[in-house]
Amino acid sequence: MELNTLAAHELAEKLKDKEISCTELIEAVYKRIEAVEPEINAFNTLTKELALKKAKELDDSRPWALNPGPSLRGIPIAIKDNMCTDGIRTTCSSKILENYVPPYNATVVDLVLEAGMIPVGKTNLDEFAMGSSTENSAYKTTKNPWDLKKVPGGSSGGAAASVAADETILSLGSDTGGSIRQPASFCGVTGLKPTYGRVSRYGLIAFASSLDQIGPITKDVTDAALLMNILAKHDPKDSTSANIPSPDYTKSLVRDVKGLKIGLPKELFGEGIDGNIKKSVMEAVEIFEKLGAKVKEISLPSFKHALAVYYIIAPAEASSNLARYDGVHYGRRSDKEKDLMEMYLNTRREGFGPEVKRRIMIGTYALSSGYYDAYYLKAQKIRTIIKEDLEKTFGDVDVMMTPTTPTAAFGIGEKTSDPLSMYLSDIATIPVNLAGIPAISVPCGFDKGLPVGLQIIGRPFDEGTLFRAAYTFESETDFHKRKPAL
Amino acid sequence: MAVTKKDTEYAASLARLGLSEEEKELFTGQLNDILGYIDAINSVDTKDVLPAVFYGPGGAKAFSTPMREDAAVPFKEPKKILGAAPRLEDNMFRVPKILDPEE
Repeated sequence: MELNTLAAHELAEKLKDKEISCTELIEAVYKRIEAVEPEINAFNTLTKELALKKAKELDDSRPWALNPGPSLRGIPIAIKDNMCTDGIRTTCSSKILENYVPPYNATVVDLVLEAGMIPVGKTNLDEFAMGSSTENSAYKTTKNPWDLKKVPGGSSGGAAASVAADETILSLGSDTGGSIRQPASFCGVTGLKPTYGRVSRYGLIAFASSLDQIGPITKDVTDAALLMNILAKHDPKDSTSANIPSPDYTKSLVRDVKGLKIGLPKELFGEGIDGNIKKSVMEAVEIFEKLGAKVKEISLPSFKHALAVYYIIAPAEASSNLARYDGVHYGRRSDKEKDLMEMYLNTRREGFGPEVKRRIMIGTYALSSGYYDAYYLKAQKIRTIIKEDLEKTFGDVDVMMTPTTPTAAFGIGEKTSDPLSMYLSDIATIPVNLAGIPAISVPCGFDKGLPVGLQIIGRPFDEGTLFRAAYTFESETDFHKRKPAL
Repeated sequence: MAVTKKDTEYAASLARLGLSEEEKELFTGQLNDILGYIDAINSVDTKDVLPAVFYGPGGAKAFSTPMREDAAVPFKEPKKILGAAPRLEDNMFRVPKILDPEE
């Protein structure tokens, strides 16, 4: 079996036993990248020379024996191109950051490097993480490895496709309204959005600061837990980072869901959800039931407002965050700069793509004098109602299960002319970001050859229960082991 | 409430975003579509509800932002920061003229 097709925990064993070297592993990954990348388009930037150098350093030092626990030392990882990497171009898939080379690392990048993982490159996304398909990237559209005519999902489309196509072993994604879980679902891999505050956002290029969260995209649940052990850490540089102890998530990798109380929100099994998707998810729920979990239908009436609330709050925060791209300190600047105002107008006109402009417009309008109370304040109040609705539900159930997406991957070009229909593909993932709670997507079936994802939603900071449920499901099924015929 | 082309132009000027005539038309239409969808939230009763900005992660009420100690940490390589600037002169960020000397 090719090394690049294995999971991190399998490779970690081989590295530790000196059965393989880091260099062999990195070479296998780049061999695959060189073979399939012309079709997949998952990466904006590749860092092969740096990766080979790092692999050699690790091979020459080799202190594995000193480290008894499972280690991700020497494991290749792809980094979404909205996380700052010192000395390596970070574009956010935007023209406005075309030549931007950050002077520092995002905290997650430092953590990954300290743990000895080897970055292979920066993955494509929808510009500034705004989108559900990577079609909003200023550079390229990533293809779904299961069907090259379909989108990989987004915004972490490059991150999910690179894992599914075995171009990397691990990936870092970010999730503002579903941007880890939706592409993980479309590409048949595992993706976790941690609790807001669990992972540092320092150095993650901001989209909507009250919703953004970094998390792992991996080949299986064990890998996601191992990577979370590295990422979940308090960071004084992010004032929203939670100052609470970091648990050992591998302790949650046990086959046991006996007595687990599962709620199925009927609002996410009704109209607008494809019949085949519903069927796969219900079959997954039956497996949990068979293993002793208790399943019941629940109702979250406030969910029907989640999408509208999200499309006020996210653009409002984005319009404020993106004000920093002014052509002065870094990034692209227009040549048309007769005076300062003309320079601002032209820099932003030339630098941003249509979806980013659209969201800046929505956000600016919603925050403008006279509309603030009607839109932004109203949305923030309904957000409280959604949170309270969820808190009440979690008094009754331990986790909720839903389809991650209403349909399997859609076609490239299918939704680009209708922004609202594109927004609707995030209907099951958005409430989770609004409430700041964690959720994981794991493969649970196929619809006409395309992967289907099961979303498991948990209580704040209870990623452990998500890992336990997901691990149990994975032990009973082999959906996560299937590979696209590339 | 319908968004007019004038509203679009006003929001674009607040956002310092230059728009072409076609973009103004397009965004006026799309803003109306999207805000039309969003307007449904007006039916929700939010009397006595606190905006969600007052809740920290985990649902706890948080009325203040955690602060770290106000201690300066020198950045080791300021050249890297300056090097990212699109126009630099004598280690300063160069901007186009702000005031018109004629005025």
